[in-house]
Amino acid sequence: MRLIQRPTPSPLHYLYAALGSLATVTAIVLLFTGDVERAAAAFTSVDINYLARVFLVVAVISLSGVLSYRSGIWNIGQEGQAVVGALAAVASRNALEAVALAALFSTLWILAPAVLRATAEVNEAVTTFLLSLVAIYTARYFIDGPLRDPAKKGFVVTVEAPYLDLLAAAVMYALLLAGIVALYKTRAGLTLRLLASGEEVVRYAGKSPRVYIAATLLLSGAVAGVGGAVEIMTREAGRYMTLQQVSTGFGLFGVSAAWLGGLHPLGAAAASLYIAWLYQVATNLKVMGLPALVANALVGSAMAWGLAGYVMYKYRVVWR
Amino acid sequence: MAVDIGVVQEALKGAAPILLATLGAVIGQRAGVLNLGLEGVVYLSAAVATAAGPPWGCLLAVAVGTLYNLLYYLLVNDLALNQILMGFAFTMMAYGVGSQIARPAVGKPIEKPLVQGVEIYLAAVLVAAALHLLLRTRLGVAIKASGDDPASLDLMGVDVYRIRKIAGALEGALASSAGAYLVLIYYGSWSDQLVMGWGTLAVVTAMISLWNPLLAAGASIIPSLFISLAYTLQRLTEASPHLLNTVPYLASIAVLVLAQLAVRKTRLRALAPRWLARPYIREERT
Repeated sequence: MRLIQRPTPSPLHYLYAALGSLATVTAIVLLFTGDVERAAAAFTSVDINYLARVFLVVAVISLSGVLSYRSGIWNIGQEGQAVVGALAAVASRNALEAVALAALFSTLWILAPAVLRATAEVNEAVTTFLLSLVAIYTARYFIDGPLRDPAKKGFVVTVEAPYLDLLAAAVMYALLLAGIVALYKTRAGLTLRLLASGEEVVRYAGKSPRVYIAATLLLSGAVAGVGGAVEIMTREAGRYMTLQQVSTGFGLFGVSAAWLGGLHPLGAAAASLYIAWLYQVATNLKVMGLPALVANALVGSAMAWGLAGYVMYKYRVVWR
Repeated sequence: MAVDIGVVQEALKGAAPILLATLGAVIGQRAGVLNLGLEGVVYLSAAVATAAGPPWGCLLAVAVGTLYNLLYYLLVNDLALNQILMGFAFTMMAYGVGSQIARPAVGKPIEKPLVQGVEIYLAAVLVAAALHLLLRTRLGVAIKASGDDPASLDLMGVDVYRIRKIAGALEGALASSAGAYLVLIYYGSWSDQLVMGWGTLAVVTAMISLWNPLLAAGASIIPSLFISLAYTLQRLTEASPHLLNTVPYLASIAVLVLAQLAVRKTRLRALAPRWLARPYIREERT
């Protein structure tokens, strides 16, 4: 099995990747249900509000991935940054303050990896990933301590986060999306994308790669934090964190959507909708009494197909 | 003083699985692959070892972990899928599958093993010495070359893809034995959170040890010491156990930064595999 570079890459290969993902998902669902009728029920039963909520969360976090990976910077700590964003939301009095604090604290959370990568070339994939684990324990400290709700005697849960309705969340996402699309039209946005071709290229363009590396990570962290806040604030009920349910897995979903969408802000939006639907399918399967691991398996396979789409776009696979 | 000795003994016991996984990471990173899926391999093999129980659980865990790691190598090496993100996805999938496999064993003790003292660490140091020797053999040199200059290795007629897969098999076997050790010897029980971070710490320790198996024997004590210290402090102080649990990760990052700053302006910097985290695509050879 070898890869040959395509002389004329076509974006159609991302569509093939999406179809491949769909085929894999169908196979997994059939394997778990063992019957076509139940599989069809898992695929077709959709709660629009639930789908919209998951879509918005995944779509916001996917923008964090787009920002980072299009610049060739490997922030894979979106899960931890989202946890920090959700914590900030829980500690806030109203929705506006929650979003602002989520962005601020998740930026501060990623500050150390950003500075270390920019100044000492410390691998940001390793530091952001390790900090995700730190975020989970830190969140547990706040759940069990400063943010614990004293009214819920006998239960270790935080106070409730302010409510954000889906329309407001959609407007916020649209603004973020428009902001990032607009950013890529500016010279700064172009330099951010140039970074993926190498630090030398940015230096030749007369800019400081260090500044752009740090800016990429900080922006990416801020957006992931907002995603975490949106996740907890758009819940109809139970807008609190518990010791067992700190990490929601939406960090992985956002990263998967970014790749499945070809690292394009609009492509990531389409991929987020697909991943939200996968999440709905996984939830339907859980309701049918099937294992909880299905969501991870479905989204993990979507991520693999997203990466495969990127490779298929650039290369042809030959057997030799 | 008694407490100090206890912490050191615990640290040596805990360093054994980190050392085993670190040695795996050293081999893989030397071959040019940054495998964040190592966390998943440790987790999955620990779950398999738990589900099957001793003594066969150990062998089954190594077999499953090695195959899982080889699948990762097939995707990132032969098909050039992004190493970092696939590693991340492999970890997430292993968490999902592993927690499901070991679910019936939650809260149940596992049969006591025969060996459980610091001699395990000494055995792991012997493995480190063996790997150090391996890296000086023809195969070892090929593994190092595939991480430093795969195009030249390819021009010499050595199949880079095959060499990396051999490295992947070794890495998988070492990491999965670390996973089996964690549940069967170190903890003697299973919970979903048990393995969280051990594999990732090994990825960092491999970097701290400058990809040298003998240095890895020393470096693996660092995270383990902080893990043991966190447990001891939980018993002795009023500090939040949740915050104490963050110490090993934060300490590992701090040591990684110090190590990187220390070698930055020295010749040791050249030890870093130049192709780390970059796929080798033969048709793009220049």
